[in-house]
Amino acid sequence: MLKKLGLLMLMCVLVTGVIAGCSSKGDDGSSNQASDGKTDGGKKVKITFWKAPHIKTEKDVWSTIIKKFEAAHPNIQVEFLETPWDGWDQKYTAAFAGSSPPDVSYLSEYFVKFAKNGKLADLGPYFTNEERTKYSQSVMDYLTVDGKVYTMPFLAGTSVVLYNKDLFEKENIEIPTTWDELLEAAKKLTKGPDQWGIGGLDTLNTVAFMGQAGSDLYAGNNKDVSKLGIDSPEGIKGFTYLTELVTKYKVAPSIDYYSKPEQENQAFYDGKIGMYFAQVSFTGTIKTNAPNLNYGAFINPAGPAADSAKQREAYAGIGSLAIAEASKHKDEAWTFIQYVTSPENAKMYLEPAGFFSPMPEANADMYVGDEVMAEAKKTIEGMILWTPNDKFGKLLDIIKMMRESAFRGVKSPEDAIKDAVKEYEAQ
Amino acid sequence: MVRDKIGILAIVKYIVLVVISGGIVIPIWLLFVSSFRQTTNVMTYPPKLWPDDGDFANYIELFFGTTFSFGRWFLNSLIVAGLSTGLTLLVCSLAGYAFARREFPGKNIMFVLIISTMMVPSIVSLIPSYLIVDKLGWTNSYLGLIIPTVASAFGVFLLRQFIQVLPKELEESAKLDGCGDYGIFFRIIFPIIGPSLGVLAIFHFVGNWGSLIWPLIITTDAQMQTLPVGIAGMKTYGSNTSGEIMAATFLSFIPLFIVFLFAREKFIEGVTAGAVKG
Amino acid sequence: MNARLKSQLISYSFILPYMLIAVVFAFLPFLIVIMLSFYQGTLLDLNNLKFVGLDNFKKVFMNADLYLSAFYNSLFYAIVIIPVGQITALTLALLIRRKSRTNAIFETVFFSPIIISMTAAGVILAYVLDKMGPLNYLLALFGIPEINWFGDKIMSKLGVGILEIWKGATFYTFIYIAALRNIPADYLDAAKIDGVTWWQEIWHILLPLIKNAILLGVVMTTIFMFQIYDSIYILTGGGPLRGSESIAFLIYRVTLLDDQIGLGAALSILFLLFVLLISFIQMKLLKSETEY
Repeated sequence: MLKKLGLLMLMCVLVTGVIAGCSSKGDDGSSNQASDGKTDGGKKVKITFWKAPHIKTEKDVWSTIIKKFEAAHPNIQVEFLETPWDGWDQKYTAAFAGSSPPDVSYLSEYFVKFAKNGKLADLGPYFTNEERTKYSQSVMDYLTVDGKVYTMPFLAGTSVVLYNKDLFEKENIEIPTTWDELLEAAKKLTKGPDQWGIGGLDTLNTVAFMGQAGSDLYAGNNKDVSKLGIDSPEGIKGFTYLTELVTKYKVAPSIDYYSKPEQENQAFYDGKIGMYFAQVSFTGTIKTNAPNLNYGAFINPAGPAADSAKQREAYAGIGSLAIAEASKHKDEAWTFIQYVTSPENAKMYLEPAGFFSPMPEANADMYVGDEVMAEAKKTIEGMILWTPNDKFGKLLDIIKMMRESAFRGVKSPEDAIKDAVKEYEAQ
Repeated sequence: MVRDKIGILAIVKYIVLVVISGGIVIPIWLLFVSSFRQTTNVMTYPPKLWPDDGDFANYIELFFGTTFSFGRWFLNSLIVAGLSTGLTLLVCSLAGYAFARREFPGKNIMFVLIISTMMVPSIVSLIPSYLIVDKLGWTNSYLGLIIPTVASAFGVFLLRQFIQVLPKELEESAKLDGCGDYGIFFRIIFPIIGPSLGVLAIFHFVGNWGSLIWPLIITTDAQMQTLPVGIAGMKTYGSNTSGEIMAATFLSFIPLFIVFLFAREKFIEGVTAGAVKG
Repeated sequence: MNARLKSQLISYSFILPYMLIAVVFAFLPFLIVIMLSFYQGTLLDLNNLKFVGLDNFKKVFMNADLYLSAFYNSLFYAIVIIPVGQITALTLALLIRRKSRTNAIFETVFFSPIIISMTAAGVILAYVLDKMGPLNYLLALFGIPEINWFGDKIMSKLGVGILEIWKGATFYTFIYIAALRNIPADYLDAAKIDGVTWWQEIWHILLPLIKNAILLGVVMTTIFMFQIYDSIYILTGGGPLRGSESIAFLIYRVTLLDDQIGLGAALSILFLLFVLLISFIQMKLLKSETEY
């Protein structure tokens, strides 16, 4: 009997020994986490805020804004976390699927997926109708999921064509306004082994070119997100024009010419690319990396679309802030969101990052005297947003494959579109 | 004639060895050189072989800049790999001993089950494991980083193989001396299997030190990330940090390498001992 | 209590800590995967999974062309990496099998990739293999045109292969060195007296004597090669055009990027059956080998 007891005790010691050996260590990990949400030293509430970076100084800019916010709201403490874009989707999905998502998060087109699955708090009680009127109807429609608004618009980004003024002057080129002129200008700018007429023809711009030819991204007048609309004569026309810039006319670098996107950026800084299709926020990056670059901007040259509103389609997006449904501090989270989205505070981030405000009136006094941004401002009013889609990540991946297989000449543009549609609809 | 032939053989042998060594050492050297260079200069053609135009800016940024929590990542990797290794040694040697020496119902089926987990690719159980860890509230904690990595089937397999070939007389004489079951394990077996514990320790530590996907998924707090996760995350959008990535990469293995240089014999002996028995 | 039962209980206490962790983090996840393969849903809303029976499996077979390329890629990896890696490892082991001061230097060099993490090795080789990188520069010196490692489906697979071999092959070198050094000296002395050539010594004496170690190495590398995924994640991201995706990487993409957990689970199950089949065949082959 005694032996049996001894045995039992030994087993207990063994097992607890194993567990204790690590739980003492683990405790400081989990206590950290526990203090995330709960009150901590008095009545201070700590909220977490996650955002992926758009500029190198992201952390510094936010720490300035947060310091100001905390001074105005001494009961709230904000912990900012810069989450890399690399693995963004998995990380946010994992966090929201789990029990400790960030109280406040910055979301781009991916917001639909989180909203549809009940992971975001309904902003109905906070985001008043009066406040909603400050934003354009199209933005509010865009953010409405199943009749509810889950996110607060924070920034607006559009795309323009940045051009190297010195190269334009040297070749005596006028700013192109149509596809034909774009091609002509690009031919003149393409020189020797390493100077290209056009750069920056990425996945997002692929959709823009098909739009300029008159194609919708989705079927049913861009409404039915379960099917793609690019498998149309217009879509094929737009995609063929884009592909031929690379494969036939060779006025844009092939896919492998630069091994990293940064190298293509660098080529633009170095005057090796004449016209660079870019998101406006890229100007923020230019400011830090190539402050002396002599460049200007123009809006996308017009394509052959019958609908004149689509001829100059450019990629545009709204970045918004959301509160997690699982957050224990929704009120405090809202206080923070309201603070950072107010025009004067938002400007502290938007200007260095090269973004616009989704509030039309707030843009009037932004980027005063900035020639490039003045051109970019033209694109803000007519911006065409992608129809909200909870399969955005998958779609982007499919378009990326489509673009790549045509640019590499593995498939004809038409076949590439057909395969993309097939894969999208196979889900 | 014969001597000539041997001479040529020796030359061929050393050419092969030197070429392959170069294939290993030169890339590491180039990384070292790049780690001192400014990001915009990292990709120069022809490649730089000597960091004469470099400085310590990348290293200073890693340790004193606000962008990366490099020191913390390092510490986390150390804690996680260290504790995980310690626990693995204990847990796996206990199990390995039972499977090698003791009789109990279900022994074979359990052993087969454990070994078969080796064949289950980690990707298959990644998501369910995450869900379990989240239910336990272990995300962003050392517990979540460590405990799921402790059940190493390879460890059980290796130690069982090793213990199986030990002479049974050792235990029998210990038993005669009045040693209990646990006594036999902790006083006789555990010390003897030191070399193979060493193998397991080295590979578990090295593997854990370099593990990427699991910590990537369960840590969202930058303060809880490990080195590989941190380094993988340095490739941020729109900013170019290659120089710093090179520096961080270099720092991520150089401490382990220095330890290895000092304990070279032990490392290789460890592998040697383990492999022979396996 | 009878002695046998007591002894059994003690035995269980030895495996208890391991089993506790294994049940929660190895067996339970496995059961969850099986369950998930019959459901459809998103990671974000696991409380609303929809039971779909065998639909996920049907989908895999109906859209097989979307998944087969990953399967072929995995075979490619196995066929290239296993022999090249093992022959390299074995050659190196034979070359430095004797303990000596020079060989100690080579041992140190060959050990270093083992210590370097896959993430770090990936950063290093991504730099070396870059189009503007040192390897292409070296090739240009010999008049060989530059290789675009990441722009072609075959080359990118070879790139992943190089990373796997660079990082992993020398591990087996040490297994083989260990086996070679463990051969009793009298075997070798006898051979010396008989005056065999170096080739005969390797082929007729050394290799047969370390056959078991070689079998172990081949089995291990086969298991590992079908699971590769980290190296792809770091070096190519599966590209170009998914041309370097292994099955494991495909499962990662479908589950986490496409957020189709049911489909990912179904693919996982099929993958697992395939891995088991390979192992089974291998064991059969090994058995007949050893009998002979």
